Amino acid sequence: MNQIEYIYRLHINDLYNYGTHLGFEKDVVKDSIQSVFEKILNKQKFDIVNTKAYLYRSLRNELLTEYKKSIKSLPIDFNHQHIPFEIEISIEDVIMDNESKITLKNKVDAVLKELSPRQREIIYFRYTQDYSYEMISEIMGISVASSRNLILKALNHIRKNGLNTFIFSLLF
Amino acid sequence: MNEKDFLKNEAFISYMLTKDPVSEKYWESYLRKNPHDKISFENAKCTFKKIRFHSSVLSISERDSLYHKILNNQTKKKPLVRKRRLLNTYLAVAASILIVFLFRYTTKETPLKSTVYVKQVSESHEIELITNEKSYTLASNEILNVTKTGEINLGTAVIKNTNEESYNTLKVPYGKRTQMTLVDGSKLWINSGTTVKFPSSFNDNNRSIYVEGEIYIEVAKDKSKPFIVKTTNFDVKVYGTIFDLKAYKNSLAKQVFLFEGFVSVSNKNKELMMVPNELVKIEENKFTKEKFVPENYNSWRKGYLTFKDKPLQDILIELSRYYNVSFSEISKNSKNNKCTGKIHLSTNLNDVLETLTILSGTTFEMDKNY
Repeated sequence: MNQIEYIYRLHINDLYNYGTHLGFEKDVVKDSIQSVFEKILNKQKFDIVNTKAYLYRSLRNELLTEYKKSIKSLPIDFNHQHIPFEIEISIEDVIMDNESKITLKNKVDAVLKELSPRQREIIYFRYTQDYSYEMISEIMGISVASSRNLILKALNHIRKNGLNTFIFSLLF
Repeated sequence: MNEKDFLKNEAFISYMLTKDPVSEKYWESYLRKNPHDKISFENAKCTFKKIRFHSSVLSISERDSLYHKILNNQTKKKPLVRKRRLLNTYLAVAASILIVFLFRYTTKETPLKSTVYVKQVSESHEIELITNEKSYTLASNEILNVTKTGEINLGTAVIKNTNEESYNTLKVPYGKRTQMTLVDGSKLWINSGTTVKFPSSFNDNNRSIYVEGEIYIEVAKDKSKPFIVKTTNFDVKVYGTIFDLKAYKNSLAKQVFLFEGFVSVSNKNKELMMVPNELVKIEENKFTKEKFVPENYNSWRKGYLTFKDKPLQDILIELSRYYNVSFSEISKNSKNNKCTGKIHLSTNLNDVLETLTILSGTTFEMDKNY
């Protein structure tokens, strides 16, 4: 197997999955992945230290550019905050009874809905990939402190709203 | 709080989602104040981990065509010489990535490429349940469920057992896996080539089952009745916990992996207590304790195998059980190649063998004559 092919095959699933979480159509994600890899092939020197973070970050930037192109008038304060990040969950357990599954799913959905897209994005990396805040900040192009802050804000927000358990379960 | 309360609690949910050190500290101090909640907390954690984020994937052909698109665009743009030089750089970089992420040979000589032939074992059995009176065949997607009243629910049929204390036998052949719930609510994941004997209802003193093979079990909490898993060489006594037990008859590696709670491993002469993330190896009369990383050991029930520095030979044994295939004799050199990595136990054995080829440097060929 060709070596660039190896890198491609190792990461393609994660990259594609990440792109769709950011709310883009299948073909847009595929095209962006294509440009990420073409740019690697065009590099004079392969100087990538953290391959995975590099790939995620490049794909994120490609998609960000796509997003900017897609909206006609950019708001003055445009930043990456505007891109959505959707998480759909399911519970993989055949033994657990349906009712408890639905209760748990609704509950977690409600918590996720309360958060900002960037908070969900960090959670995606923490929960599914077990990445450190350092890795996440490298991917998202923010400082470690701000990625940490986003999560602490999320935790605080959820705690403050924790009393509304009852309303939550009625709403969702 | 009981398990359900934890799972309804937003602070708990956000802790599980973010894995943030601050909320971790919060729950540590909570448990210090409420030590009785510890077990339900651990159980809730375990249940929560079954939550998966929905993921989209490209099909194999889509991945291939995207890759070819990338390459084709590339060859059009770049002169050949430049490309070759670049590829060499990638070769070096990618090679180092290979070493870090995937595998390393511990043998000093350069390993020779060798081919192993894979043979599908033609005799394929069904999962079988044998009660006192009758035997039943089960489809592999059926889950056995023993109801509180001592009836065995097969999904398609319900078996009433007249003699409640007698043991039923569940035989899961190579190539098949299944799950079941016992009368007390304990959940079992049963791996290929395993026999489990269980009663329709437990007696008043303890809950005992017999196992030959491998199970992963989440034992329902019941302080008044200890749960005992018996094997030919040793027993595991449990007090509400999660562990994986490996006791195949013709395999030397008999092991117990503890994920949560407390258990003891014992034979006639001794008893050894275990705490989470410890594994005990049982060799004849000797128990040895080691630490392990949980993610690497309970993966079979989720559909993948992870291993670290594991001889190719051992991986092939696990795969032959899982897929009910046999592998031809492998050369001494490749036998001891130690592999590190992850294999998705896809329904397509060829995909699996392809991954294993990358991991081990040994090629596999399906033997069509069988």
